[in-house]
Amino acid sequence: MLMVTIKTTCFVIHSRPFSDSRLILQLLTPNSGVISALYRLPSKKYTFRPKPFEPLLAYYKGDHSLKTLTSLEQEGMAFSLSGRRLFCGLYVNELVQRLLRVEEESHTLFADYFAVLEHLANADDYVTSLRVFELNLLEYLGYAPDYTYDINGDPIVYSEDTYYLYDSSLGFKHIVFIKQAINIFTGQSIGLLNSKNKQAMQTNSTIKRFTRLALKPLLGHKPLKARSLFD
Amino acid sequence: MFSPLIDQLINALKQLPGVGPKSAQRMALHLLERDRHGAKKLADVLGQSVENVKRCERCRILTEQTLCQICTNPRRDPDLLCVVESPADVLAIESASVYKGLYFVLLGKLSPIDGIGPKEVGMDELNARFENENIQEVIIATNPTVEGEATAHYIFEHAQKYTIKATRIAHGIPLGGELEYVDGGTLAHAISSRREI
Repeated sequence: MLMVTIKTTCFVIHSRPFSDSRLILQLLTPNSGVISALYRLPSKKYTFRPKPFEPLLAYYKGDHSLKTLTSLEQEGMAFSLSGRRLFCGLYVNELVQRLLRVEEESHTLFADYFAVLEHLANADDYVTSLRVFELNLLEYLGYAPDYTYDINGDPIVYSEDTYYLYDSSLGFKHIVFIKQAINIFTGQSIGLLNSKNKQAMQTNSTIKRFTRLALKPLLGHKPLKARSLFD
Repeated sequence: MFSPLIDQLINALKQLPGVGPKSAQRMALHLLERDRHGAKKLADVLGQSVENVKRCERCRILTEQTLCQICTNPRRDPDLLCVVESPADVLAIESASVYKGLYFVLLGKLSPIDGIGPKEVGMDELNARFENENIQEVIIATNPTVEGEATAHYIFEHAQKYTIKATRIAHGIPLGGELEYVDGGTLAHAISSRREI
């Protein structure tokens, strides 16, 4: 049977050597989520080496989990990340590699990934875009809680005087505030999570606390190594 | 196909990088058929090296001493510290004969997806050198890859804490290279880092 060659835009999430002249690349694609593919490096005369944060055009084929790249070329200028922005980029790639399902349609997440790289490269407040990406990733994976109704079916009151306890398997539960804990959020913060208002997020540190809490059960016991870069 | 011992030798040679079954077979037959003396010498030196070679306690280059020849050389400049990813990078810089300072080998680069963080690349040891030695400048010579750049920035942040000047080796068009074969990223870097002539 003739094997079909698939053409796709993609980003390199990770690469590792397979032999002296071949790499195994993990690529983020809009149609198939993360795929693994074998890539033969071009001759030494050409200095092109696929690297992260660079939009690429790939042609690949194969029915098994490891595809074969028949061609790979630049499709645009790489996002130029440096310093702490580069650490953030590595953090995003680790999140994608750890959490994204293999060969599953991911158009919206691909667009979110593109947007977060754009912000990391150009925006002044690049950290907020990380939080938005984390919230979008939770939604894409189907693990985002309902930000509009609590677990009893009552509408969440977006006020700073109402308090909710976050349970990663159920959602938000309305509580009477006694003392602050890591999994207690105000209604106002939940409203912010719902709106993803970047300007308001800049001044609200609870968003980071929420995304850490929400991602924790998905990541399991192995912590994200990229976080150690920020220590 | 051969005797068990020869098969063992071929399999052992296959562990070398870039050596496949055919090359391993050729090497084994060459050593056994044409150069027994060389084979004996190779076996002796290999055995001694495996037994005695360890890492320099200061810079982590391979050596059979506690401190390597570079670290104990009084003519090397102790104010300068060059940080590289691997011992092979030290050999490359030494072959250029332009650098007279000391080294620190990371034995890797920061790569969170591969589980390599600051601890794994010896940042604790490097910080100890920043603290205990009178280093005036740290030259960060990690490779110009995404992980190499992240490593460079991480070292830069730590050097700043100890008010040590941190510099990065230049990168761009290789000598003798042709512009038409250079990728856009390298060209962009070369143009933004251009210098007056």
